[in-house]
Amino acid sequence: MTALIRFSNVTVSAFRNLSRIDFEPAPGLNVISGDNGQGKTSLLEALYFVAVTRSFRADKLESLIQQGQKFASVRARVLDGEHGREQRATLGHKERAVLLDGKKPERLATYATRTPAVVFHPGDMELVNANAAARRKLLDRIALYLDPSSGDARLSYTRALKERKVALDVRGPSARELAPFEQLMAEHGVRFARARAEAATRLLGALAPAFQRMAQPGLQLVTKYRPGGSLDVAEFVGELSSRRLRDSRQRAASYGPQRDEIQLLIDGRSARHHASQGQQRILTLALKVAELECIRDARRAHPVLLLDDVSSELDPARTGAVYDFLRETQSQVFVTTTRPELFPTPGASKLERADWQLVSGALSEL
Amino acid sequence: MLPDRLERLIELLSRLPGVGEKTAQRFAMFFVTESQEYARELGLALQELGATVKRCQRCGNIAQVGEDGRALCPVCLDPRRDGKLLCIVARVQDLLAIEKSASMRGRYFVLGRLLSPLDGVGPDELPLEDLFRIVAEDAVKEVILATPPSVDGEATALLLARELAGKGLQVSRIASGVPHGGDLEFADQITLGRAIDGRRSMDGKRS
Ligand SMILES: Nc1ncnc2c1ncn2[C@@H]1O[C@H](COP(=O)(O)OP(=O)(O)OP(=O)(O)O)[C@@H](O)[C@H]1O
Ligand SMILES: [Mg+2]
Ligand SMILES: [Zn+2]
Repeated sequence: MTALIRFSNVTVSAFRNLSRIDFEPAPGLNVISGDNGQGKTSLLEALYFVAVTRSFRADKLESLIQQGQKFASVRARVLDGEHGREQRATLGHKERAVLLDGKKPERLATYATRTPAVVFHPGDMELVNANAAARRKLLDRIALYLDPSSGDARLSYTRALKERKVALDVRGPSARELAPFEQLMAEHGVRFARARAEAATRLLGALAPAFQRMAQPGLQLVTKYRPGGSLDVAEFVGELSSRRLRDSRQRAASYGPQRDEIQLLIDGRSARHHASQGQQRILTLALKVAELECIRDARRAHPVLLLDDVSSELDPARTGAVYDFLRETQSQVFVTTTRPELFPTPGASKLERADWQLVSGALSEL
Repeated sequence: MLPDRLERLIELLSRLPGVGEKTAQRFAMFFVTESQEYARELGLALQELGATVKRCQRCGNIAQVGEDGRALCPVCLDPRRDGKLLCIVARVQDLLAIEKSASMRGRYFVLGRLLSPLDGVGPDELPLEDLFRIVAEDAVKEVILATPPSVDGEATALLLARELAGKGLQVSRIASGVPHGGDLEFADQITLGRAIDGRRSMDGKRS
């Protein structure tokens, strides 16, 4: 059984330009329209924040707090299969506090992995049009659901990697502290590379059909996962110690999962360098659909889907394909647009679809 | 605005672990407004501290300075302790936590720091010579590495294991079971006891 996850009864306060919003979203599709700068992205950001206590666009969380206010806060009732819970996340200038059913959870991580949410926003285009770092992050997000300990393994790996780099920088390739850190890089690296490899297999497996159903017919997508290290500790250690001289010259480790790559080719050419903007956008959306499916299967729940400004740059047929997907998905969806007329859903019931309008941070139902 | 002396006191107090600017200010005000007697006593206690309590000159634990002027801790002075068994820890707090669990019948050595090039600590910054001296003097046979299970703690253990195994010692590492990346200090006594009883041999490599 895959549980349905739904936000209901949401309250947003002092969050960016949203002074106060109380709303009861539809369990199905929620279309949020409004002109530029009215608060559409902010509303998605608020939903994302109450689910995972982070932002998808702000480096500094402080920027979420409404100017002149001390705290931003979002409260939501979350239905999770048979269960319901109350989540509340509050952000001050110095601290972040969360409550789960009115109680402080043991760790922030317990709270932040409870309600899975997948978001698409224009910045996600870097999944396709930038270097591999963003794609690795995507894999790590999925890996965390497949193996919750992979997050700790990644942090430990990164620490050991930095220690080795400084040792190489300061004391050169024969420093005797290199061996211990290389051993630890290998042990933690293998643990987290294993979770990443599993995430990559699943992601790319789900990506192919998702791309096919949304992209222009006839486009050929070829994907390849190229691991930067090994899944064998002894081999990993051997590679690191034989690459010391080279790594110290380049001032970076030439081996290990920090070099994992996912290659995306459309019609035999790199999507990053050759695909059109619309094609890049569809590929990014397909990656998001694949992420949604991976997390759904790992977590046995339908993640909430937040789509910011999906339709720009898409032709009517692509837009239609995206909306076909949104109609069929069992996830609760929040989608923003400046042009709601692009998304007709004839005959949809109140449960299946609700339309909202944002004007200067105030939300009303259409 | 505040007198220089008071500013200085606040600055000194705010260097205490867990004390911020605000708390330091509260403490300082307390000395000024409330209790002169308490302040005098505290000052005296701090002054005498340096002369009477020091780090143990052998292991680094907290020790009371004896009449002979030597600083040796109760563990080092205890003749029932097995000198052939040595437990290496990062900090005095870890030593105290293991003592509380009553699972260690040997003696200790406190490193005071962990291997971390990032923090400017290489092998030469570790007190290895003191350690080797004690190993030789006490004819130590077995070493238990009880550094914390963080990356730096593990790296320190690996480095020490290599260096000590080269001297023909039996070296083991406490079993993991203490919270990952965490402090030994916060591990409960039963867990710590198990970690020490369940230690794994370390021959300088790892399986
Ligand atoms: N911390 C803040 N306090 C108050 N207002 C803010 C804060 N941060 C951003 N804003 C403002 O909130 C408004 C809404 O921004 P938002 O990005 O949500 O708009 P949008 O509806 O998504 O617009 P677009 O269609 O252009 O993407 C903007 O005018 C922005 O300047
Ligand atoms: Mg926007
Ligand atoms: Zn001592």
